[in-house]
Amino acid sequence: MTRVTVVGQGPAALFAASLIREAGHECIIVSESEGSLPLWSGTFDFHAPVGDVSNPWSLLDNQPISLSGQEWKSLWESLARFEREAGIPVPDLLPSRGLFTITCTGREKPVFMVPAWQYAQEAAQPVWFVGFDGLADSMAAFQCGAYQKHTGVEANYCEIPKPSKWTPTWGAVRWAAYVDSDGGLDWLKRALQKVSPDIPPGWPVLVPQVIGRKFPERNLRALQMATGHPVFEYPLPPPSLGGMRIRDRWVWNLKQSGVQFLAGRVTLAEPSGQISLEDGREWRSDHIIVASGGILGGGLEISVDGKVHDTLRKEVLGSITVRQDLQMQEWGRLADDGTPRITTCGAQCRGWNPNRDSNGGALILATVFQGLNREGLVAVGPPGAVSERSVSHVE
Amino acid sequence: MVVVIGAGATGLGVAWDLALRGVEVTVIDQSGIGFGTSGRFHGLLHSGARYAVTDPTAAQDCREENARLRTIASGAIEDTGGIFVRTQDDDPAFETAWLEGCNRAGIPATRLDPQKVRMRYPEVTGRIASAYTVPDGVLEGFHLMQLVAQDITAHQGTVLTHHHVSAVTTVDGRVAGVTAEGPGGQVHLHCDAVVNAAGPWAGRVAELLGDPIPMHLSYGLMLLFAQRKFPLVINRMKAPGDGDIFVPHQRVTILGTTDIAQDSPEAPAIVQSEVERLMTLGRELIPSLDSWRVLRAFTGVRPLYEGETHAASSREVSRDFKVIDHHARHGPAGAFSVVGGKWTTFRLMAERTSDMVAGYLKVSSPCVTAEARLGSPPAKMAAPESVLCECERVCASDLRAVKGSVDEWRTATWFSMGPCQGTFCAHRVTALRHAVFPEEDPDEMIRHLRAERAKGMIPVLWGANAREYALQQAVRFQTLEEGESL
Ligand SMILES: Cc1cc2nc3c(=O)[nH]c(=O)nc-3n(C[C@H](O)[C@H](O)[C@H](O)COP(=O)(O)OP(=O)(O)OC[C@H]3O[C@@H](n4cnc5c(N)ncnc54)[C@H](O)[C@@H]3O)c2cc1C
Ligand SMILES: Cc1cc2nc3c(=O)[nH]c(=O)nc-3n(C[C@H](O)[C@H](O)[C@H](O)COP(=O)(O)OP(=O)(O)OC[C@H]3O[C@@H](n4cnc5c(N)ncnc54)[C@H](O)[C@@H]3O)c2cc1C
Repeated sequence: MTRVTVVGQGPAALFAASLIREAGHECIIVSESEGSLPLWSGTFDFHAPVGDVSNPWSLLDNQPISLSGQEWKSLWESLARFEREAGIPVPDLLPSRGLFTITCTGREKPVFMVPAWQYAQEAAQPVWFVGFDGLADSMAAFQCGAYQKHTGVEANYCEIPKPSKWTPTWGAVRWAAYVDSDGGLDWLKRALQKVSPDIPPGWPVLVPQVIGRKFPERNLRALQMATGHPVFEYPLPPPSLGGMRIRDRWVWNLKQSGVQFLAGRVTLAEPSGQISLEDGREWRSDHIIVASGGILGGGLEISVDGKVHDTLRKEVLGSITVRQDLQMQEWGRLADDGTPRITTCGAQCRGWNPNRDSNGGALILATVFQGLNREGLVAVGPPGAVSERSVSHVE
Repeated sequence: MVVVIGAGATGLGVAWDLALRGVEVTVIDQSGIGFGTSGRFHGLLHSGARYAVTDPTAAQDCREENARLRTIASGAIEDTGGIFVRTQDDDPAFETAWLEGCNRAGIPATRLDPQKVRMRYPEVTGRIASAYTVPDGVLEGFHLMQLVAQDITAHQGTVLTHHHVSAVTTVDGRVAGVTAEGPGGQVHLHCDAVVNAAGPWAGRVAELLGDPIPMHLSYGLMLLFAQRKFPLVINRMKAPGDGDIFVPHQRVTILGTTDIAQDSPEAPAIVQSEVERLMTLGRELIPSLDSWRVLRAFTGVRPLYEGETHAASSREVSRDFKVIDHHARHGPAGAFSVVGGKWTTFRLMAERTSDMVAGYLKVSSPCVTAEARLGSPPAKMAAPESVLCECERVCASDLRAVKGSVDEWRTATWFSMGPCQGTFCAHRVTALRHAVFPEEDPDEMIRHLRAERAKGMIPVLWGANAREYALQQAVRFQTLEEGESL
């Protein structure tokens, strides 16, 4: 059996591990920390499809890696399948066009594949914002004003008072634990019932994304019953319950399928397949998939002199001469850098800037596919659709 | 009535001194309190030892004022003490001269065992040749300026911020009033005397007085690191130069500074090569400096007075100050300028200036600031509230209690100035601000707050700060969708 080690535990690592398991290989995940999923809502994006996009696949021609439409489609389907198998409520059918969600500052944010708990619509429509007093990022008055100003669409808001148990130490995770509890759900149901007569019929009610860590579906259903309105969450800045739920469920699913999770800092990954950890552990595998992220993830580091270092392979990949906004797309490496047995995927790959392009999801799918495909570990899509030539890099 | 131009340490000091003498006074600033050099300095309450060799007058002034300020404003001064360290690379002859200078200025310097210094502060270079303690301290500039401003108001003085003085009017060769431009338009103030305490802008204000004065402007770069790395100030014992002082300022440590001549009174943009040079110099004293978590870089402009001599470099321009009676030169009667000096000596500068102004106004009451006591600000209310800025533990009520612009909220509470540099609080404070002042444009405000932080972070994008910045970018663009507005 082929043994594969994946370094990292972010979305790229999890997607890679799922593909590796599906292909029947042995998989070890080793990571220093939990990766970026708990920092964002976990709605995998590709290239901000704004406006009427009758064929979203056409947008993928503009990605830094060009894959065939068929390949993209089957990659998205794999992602959706893995998420659903893990119990994450993503739609059966991929959306045929881009969607918008709403941020806590009242901005419309383009999204693509969105779990059922999160608000997403094709175009702006009237909504009712609910702010929680005592949750710093729920700023309903401000959010509502900004939403109206930026979309020109009607909206309204209310703020519900703190529960009696509240203390100033309550962050998003503590709020979610409270809403998961019977007492907490009851409190929220009653608070929303009190305001629901004011809400115009049919308007969706938007609540901050803290409606439970374990049981968000159950909780939202209960709120929907209590108010008679569709109730959805809007995403908050980190820490993000959306990403945490996805991570929790996905990791648990991978563990059940036999993936080993190890905690530790990798200090060296060698072309021989040798992995060395800071704490002295080491092992050899047939392939190493480096999904150690970019500057935020820890795969890349900048030193005082501006040099960009690969922390696993101890190489200097470039340097920033003029200090300016981090231009993510300028560093990192390509999966096809020529080293056998080691391949790179995820945010570390050069050429992508998901902040600018809203294509974090496409980045993960394409780079993981490219890396695993190069190692001969997976073939995605109908037999014959994948050839070396179809994986080319657009410079 | 006296108008003081500039609400930095010096101008506030002058207004305070006059108010305590019973003189009616208004201090005017074009921006907020301390937005000039007094809010962009190193934070050192000098013992005088730094100037013991090169600038004996400044050394002695610092020693005396250092002792005074500890009693006058104990709430804004931290008695950390300091050490001077001579490395094996520094000139031993300087040590002899330095000891003599300290002795002459009355600065107590006590010899330490270099071995023990190494053991207590293992991050200091192993190449210590000798070390001494001196009575350095740490001065919380914004805090002290707030205390002084409060006391001015308590003595019937006025602090007028966000008004730029654009003209000084005279009648029969005597100062009669000033004109200032503010958010509500022009205001005219009648006065009998005007004091130019405009710091780096003093040259420009002197032109309004019709009597230009020669200024020597230079800026200094400082790097701010997370955590209080040492409990006391660490100085390098050599002729005052660049990158030779580490100051523990509350919970952070500041390395500084540099000295580069410039013409503009505005704090300049930061040059990359200067940052690297300062790091190189800092490493000579602290070899492990690269591993420290850098937070940001900032600059301040020295308002030194060139006087009649022309010094080769600004390090040679005296830190001593000068009070100018413009009437004795080419200007009108009742116009005075105070230039040069240090934060540490602000009270003394104010005393000398006010003596001259009082003489002109024929006010006989003497200076009493040396005996004054500045209280502490009221203690925080304890009602439970959510924290908006987690790094600095700032709540909505802390912000609402501060009068002024969002930048004044920032300098009074320090929100957005901690390790996350506003990543998680800039939008929250914008929302609160919007609730309190609906007429302000929130898009403009969040842009401003982000730009203010980026200015300090971008020149020092390495290590954990680069990582923090990457997170900040992702939060701004991916979770708040600030993209299109920036
Ligand atoms: C705030 C935020 C919001 C985002 N919003 C969106 C969004 O809305 N839509 C979207 O599609 N994408 C979003 N993204 C995702 C982003 O675009 C990237 O695609 C994503 O973060 C990259 O994931 P990754 O798996 O490559 O790396 P990361 O998630 O950064 O994971 C790196 C992993 O490598 C590990 N690691 C690093 N070095 C070592 C080592 N030496 N030894 C062991 N382990 C190591 C780390 O511990 C970590 O587990 C967001 C990201 C952030 C931070
Ligand atoms: C890099 C650096 C580090 C330093 N470190 C230390 C230290 O550690 N210890 C120490 O004791 N000293 C230190 N100093 C010196 C000290 O900071 C300054 O001497 C002192 O702050 C000067 O204060 P000021 O009030 O004269 O000037 P400022 O603080 O600049 O005040 C002048 C004010 O005048 C206002 N103004 C200007 N023109 C007008 C106008 N036309 N109308 C209205 N208002 C106007 C400005 O807005 C400004 O607020 C340092 C200086 C520098 C540059």
